[in-house]
Amino acid sequence: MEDKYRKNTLKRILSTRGMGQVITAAIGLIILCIAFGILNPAFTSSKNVGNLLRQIAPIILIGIGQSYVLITANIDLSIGSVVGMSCMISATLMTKGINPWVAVLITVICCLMVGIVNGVLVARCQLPPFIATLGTMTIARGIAQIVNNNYNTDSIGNAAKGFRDFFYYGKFAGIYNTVWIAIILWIVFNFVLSKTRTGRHIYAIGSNVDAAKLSGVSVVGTTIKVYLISSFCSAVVGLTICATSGMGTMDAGNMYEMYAVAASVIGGVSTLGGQGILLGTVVGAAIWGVLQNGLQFAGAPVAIRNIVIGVIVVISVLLDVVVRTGKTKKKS
Amino acid sequence: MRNEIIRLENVITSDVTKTNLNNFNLHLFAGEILGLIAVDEHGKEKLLEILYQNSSIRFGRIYFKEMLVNSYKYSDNTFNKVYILSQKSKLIDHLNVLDNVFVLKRGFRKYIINSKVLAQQFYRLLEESEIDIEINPYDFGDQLTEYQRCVVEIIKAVVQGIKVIVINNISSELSEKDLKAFKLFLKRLVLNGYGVLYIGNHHEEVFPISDRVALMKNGSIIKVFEKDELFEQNILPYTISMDKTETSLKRSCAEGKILFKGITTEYLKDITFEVQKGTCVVLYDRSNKVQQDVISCLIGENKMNTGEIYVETEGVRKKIEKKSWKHQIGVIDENPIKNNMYHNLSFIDNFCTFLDNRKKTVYISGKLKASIQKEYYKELGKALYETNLNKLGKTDLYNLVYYRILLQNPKVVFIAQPFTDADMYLRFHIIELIRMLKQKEIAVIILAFTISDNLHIADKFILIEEGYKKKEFLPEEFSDIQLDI
Repeated sequence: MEDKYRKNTLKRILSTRGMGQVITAAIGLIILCIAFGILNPAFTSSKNVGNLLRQIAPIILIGIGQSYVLITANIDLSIGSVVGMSCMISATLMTKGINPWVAVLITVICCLMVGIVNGVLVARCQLPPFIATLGTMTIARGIAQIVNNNYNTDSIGNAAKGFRDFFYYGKFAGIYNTVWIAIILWIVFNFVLSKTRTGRHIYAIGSNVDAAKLSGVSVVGTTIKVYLISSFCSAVVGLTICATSGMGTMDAGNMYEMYAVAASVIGGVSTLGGQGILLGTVVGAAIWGVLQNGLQFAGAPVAIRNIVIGVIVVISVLLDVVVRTGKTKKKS
Repeated sequence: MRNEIIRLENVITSDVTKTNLNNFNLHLFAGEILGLIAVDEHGKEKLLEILYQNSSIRFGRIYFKEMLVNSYKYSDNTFNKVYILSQKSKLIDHLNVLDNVFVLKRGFRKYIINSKVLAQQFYRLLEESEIDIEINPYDFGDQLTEYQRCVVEIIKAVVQGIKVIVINNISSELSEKDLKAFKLFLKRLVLNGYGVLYIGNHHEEVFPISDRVALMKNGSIIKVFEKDELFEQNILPYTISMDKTETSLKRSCAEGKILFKGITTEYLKDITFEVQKGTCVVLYDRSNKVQQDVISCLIGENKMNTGEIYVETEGVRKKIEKKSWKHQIGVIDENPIKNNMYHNLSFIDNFCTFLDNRKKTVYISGKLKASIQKEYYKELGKALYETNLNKLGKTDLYNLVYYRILLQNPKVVFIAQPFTDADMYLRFHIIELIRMLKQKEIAVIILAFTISDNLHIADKFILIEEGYKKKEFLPEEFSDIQLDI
């Protein structure tokens, strides 16, 4: 039977819901890059671009996790603390002489536990996600502090060279491994979100949780899954930070939950749930990274950078609300 | 031999304070459309609940395809193969039709989704249903028209292997034309062995489609009409008359009128009409566009492109400026209990919402409230002192909505589909309330896309098509209006 409504690939991609916001954000990103390039040509140097990509990669990762959670109309405030926890647990274990890859495994498992707790509190115990994850945020940060008796760890040493190369210093095809990790995880999670049943369930919960329940969607199971993904992404970012600094720092990942929200929202993920694509998160993270980096090149003080980013986040959310409420009501 | 799909035998259900269903009996056979007219709302919600889910009942038995699925002895809370189509969409707005129909289905096995394959299945289903409708399977849930939404929900039900489809008061969501086509779709559907329970408030709507019609009152079936008994005169003894008992104001004697001149909005195109004080005009639009359009203009969501509104008293014409619309034009939205109430406020606080129109003050004193309570006690009774609106019945809540308009004292009030979701008694009460507004010399404009009941209170009927005024009917011409639902 002829599928007369099926569009060609390009049209299909362009008509993806949320693509409009992504294109708008992408245009904004290009303008920013051009502007910063004109202000300081060093901004577009290959060395800076490489560094910029390495800066953006962790934001993409935590943005992916936060986007998953936001699409279900929830929020994860524990992301930053889980990053810190991951960094401290892995570094502490490595300094105690444990094999780095075993340490990585233990770290990831510990971080996933936080995801499970978040999911259960939000979906099973019906706690407001803001409060539930605020609680786990504090707990996770506490664990990050307590794991090495309230001290940052010593250097993880040469034994962890393979670990450091894998997560930060290594390169493949001229691109840093950190970037590759972000790319691979993005491809995997984007596929899950856009092409699989689980992805549809995630959108369904965020759009209309009652209708989702009536359609047989397991709200508890799906919510736990998204918090697990969020925690997993945070754990990977924590490991990257550990590899970068070569030690565990207790305040690692501080404020990262906000960066994650910013990346998601700038990229068109709706805070009201049910809407957003991970391509937008990449663009959002890139805008965040370019602003940080570009403003630094332009000599703007930290305070100004924060103000600019804050304003952009507010405008993005405002646009989302305007688009949603102003959308033409159902055709009669 | 007819195959029975569902049977409710002597079912009694109750919650903490009252009995819902009282010795309720109902049979539904495969291949039939059973109409259900609820004279009152009593027990209707519970009926829908136990049809869908085998929750506990106090007495009786429920059989599904001749298997006992629920009884007073044992209820296991499992779900029956029943789909309830109601005004509230069960589709996910941000997923497309294919996802809604196929992916969000209990037992959908495929993990990776192939839209192309699903689209083919969807086209096949649409073709088999022989319905004359265009549905883009890649459209999202919130891009569908109400009619498309209803059809998609039914297809979803078919895909889920549902055997009984309950249509719960959807006439207020569909335009007359769409409702007619939808009924035709249902008639074809039952030929494939499905059972349809069609719930409606108007016998004019339910009779033409049904094979049998059950009349429900106080949680019981009081009468079942067979196919050859489906005539208006048979149901009249069970209904209440809504004919005019008022001494209505004669149009020629009413002092003053409201004149709408050259009104152009997103939908309306150069509409001019007048409504005399104390009379009621029905703006009727089959396509269900005028209601949303006018209300959104009145509440400031959209702008009126051109046109002016005048009040004319004793030959003197005065324009109602837009800034004073709030004071001079009242609005009662469709389903006002949901849309026009502040459920966290007490009755009297809700009642005084528009009082600032008359008292230029930011503070409404307790003394003033007490005075209002005293003044309206005769009409509104003890409800005036109720602090929790959830404890009040629909009659009291509708009193609140309409008497509040009285307190606001506008020149004209717009009422959108006043009889939505109202059972027979409530409809009668709403008619009385609108008559009360007319007696207080407030001009009433009803925005309607169904005719039923509006003619009982209308003094003029204006037919709108494609945004243009097509024809005006006066009461003596009402019989010329085709009641076709």
